[in-house]
Amino acid sequence: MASADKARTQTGKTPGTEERVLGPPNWGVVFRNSGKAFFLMAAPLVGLLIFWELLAHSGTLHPVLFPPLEKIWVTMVDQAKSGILWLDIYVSLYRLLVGAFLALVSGTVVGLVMGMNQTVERILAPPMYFFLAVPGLALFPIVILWFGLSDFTLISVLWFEGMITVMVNAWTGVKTVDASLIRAGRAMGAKGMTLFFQVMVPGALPNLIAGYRIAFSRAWRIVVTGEMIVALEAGLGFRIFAARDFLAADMMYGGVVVVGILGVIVERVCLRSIELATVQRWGTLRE
Amino acid sequence: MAIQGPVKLQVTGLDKVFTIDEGWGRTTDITALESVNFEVRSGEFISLIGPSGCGKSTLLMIVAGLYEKTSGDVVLDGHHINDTGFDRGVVFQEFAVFPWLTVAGNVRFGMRMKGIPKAERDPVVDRLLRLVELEGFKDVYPYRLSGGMKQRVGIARALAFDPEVMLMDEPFGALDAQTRSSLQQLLVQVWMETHKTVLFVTHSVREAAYLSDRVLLMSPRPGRIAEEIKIDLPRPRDVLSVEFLECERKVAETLAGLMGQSGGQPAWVTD
Repeated sequence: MASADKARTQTGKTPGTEERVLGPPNWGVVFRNSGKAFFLMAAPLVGLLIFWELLAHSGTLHPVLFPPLEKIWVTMVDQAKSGILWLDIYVSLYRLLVGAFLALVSGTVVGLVMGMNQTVERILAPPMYFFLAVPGLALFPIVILWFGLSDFTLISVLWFEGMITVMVNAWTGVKTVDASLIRAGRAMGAKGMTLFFQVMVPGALPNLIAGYRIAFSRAWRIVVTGEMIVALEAGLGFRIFAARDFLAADMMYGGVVVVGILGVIVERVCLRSIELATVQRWGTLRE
Repeated sequence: MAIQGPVKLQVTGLDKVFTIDEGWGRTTDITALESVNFEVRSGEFISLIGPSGCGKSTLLMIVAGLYEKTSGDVVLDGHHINDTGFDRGVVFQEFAVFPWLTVAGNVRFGMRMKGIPKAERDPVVDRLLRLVELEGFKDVYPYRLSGGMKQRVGIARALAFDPEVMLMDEPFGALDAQTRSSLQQLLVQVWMETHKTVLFVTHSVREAAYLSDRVLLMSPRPGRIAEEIKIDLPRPRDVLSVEFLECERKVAETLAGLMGQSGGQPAWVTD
């Protein structure tokens, strides 16, 4: 009678769910913890920058190949002032978001249907595996042949590569939804589309989101490298590549840094927030 | 206090043959259930017990409409059963609580599927969560619950759309002994309050004896209903009373006999 389970419910308490009385924030602990986290993040970075700066000023390396940080900074500020930097960021992000959006939508739909329908799965799985093995970049020459040196070319390769990635994950997601959850859904009267949207989709969500993450980072790589191959008039990748003609290493380094920072921001803001609102809230994923 | 209500559920001549794909175009047929016959009266609590692999869970899943039967007939309230339906609520051994819904969301799920209007759902949720002693956990996501609490959500969820019959597939099999006994007591309470007809699959002799009006014992594969034992004791039952222990012994001995143990020896089916 006096079982642990019973005792818990009689007091209405289970670890982590009882009514908690919280005092004011303990700022000392907050500062110490966030300070520690920040130090661990920033220390290697600062170390690297100092190392770079020492190397650049030591005179052993060619200043054109290893420009000091202040020179890179000045170049980037100039680019920002003239508006070129903002144009490049805008153009590259536009390509990323359009391509990735199309990839997410189509990849999700096709992947989920593949997971639900065995015939569709058997038809689409072989080409899916084939294109998974083909780097998106290898498709550029062919697609350029079709559509010329245009945004359309870049975005279609981006879409295709992203779609394949999302597809694999959506498909795996559906396939790995716990059979007992599907049975429970059916036993409570969910059928067809209702079962699909109420059980299969939320059940597949952890995998879906993992797929979106990979697709986003792949898409960003393709945008930047694609801009070098397709040689459009603007874009971060284009600028890095064009800087080669002027031997402007400072512009290249600056470009790489911007590409990295933007990639991190997109990943953290867009995808992390979806994750926080869903799988992490449900406890199916922990960070 | 044998229950004399009208027949609620009737299973006649039920067979189930699984066809196993062995590869290279070869298949093997395995007869899981062979000519299963039994009936359950309204408000009755029936346990199905038998050696593992005898097809008791398969039988329950067929009644739930989750598995297809090979031949035979399952009739509930005069309707032939071939599919899932709101007249049956199922509780699973794996709990199968949806992790993306809160406790209340899980309980609401079946009602939403049934099309019960929003305003009518909340009072039911409150009542059922009180019944399974989970009042404080409405908005909690399942990952924060213990196994026993998850299964109580499972029970509330199966009751929510007011089914005629509760089908329970070894619902406490995955729980530790203490949690199991507290949930058994809770189930008796719930059963006495809701007057549901219950079909309960278990491998535990004591559990079957503690809960049921009748225990149906199944033979090893192919599963048939081999014996039936009435447990005519008032509830709540005292598991240490002589009367109860006699019943438990009877079930254990019969089960041991079905499993190939000859008579005259002490029963060796312990739980």
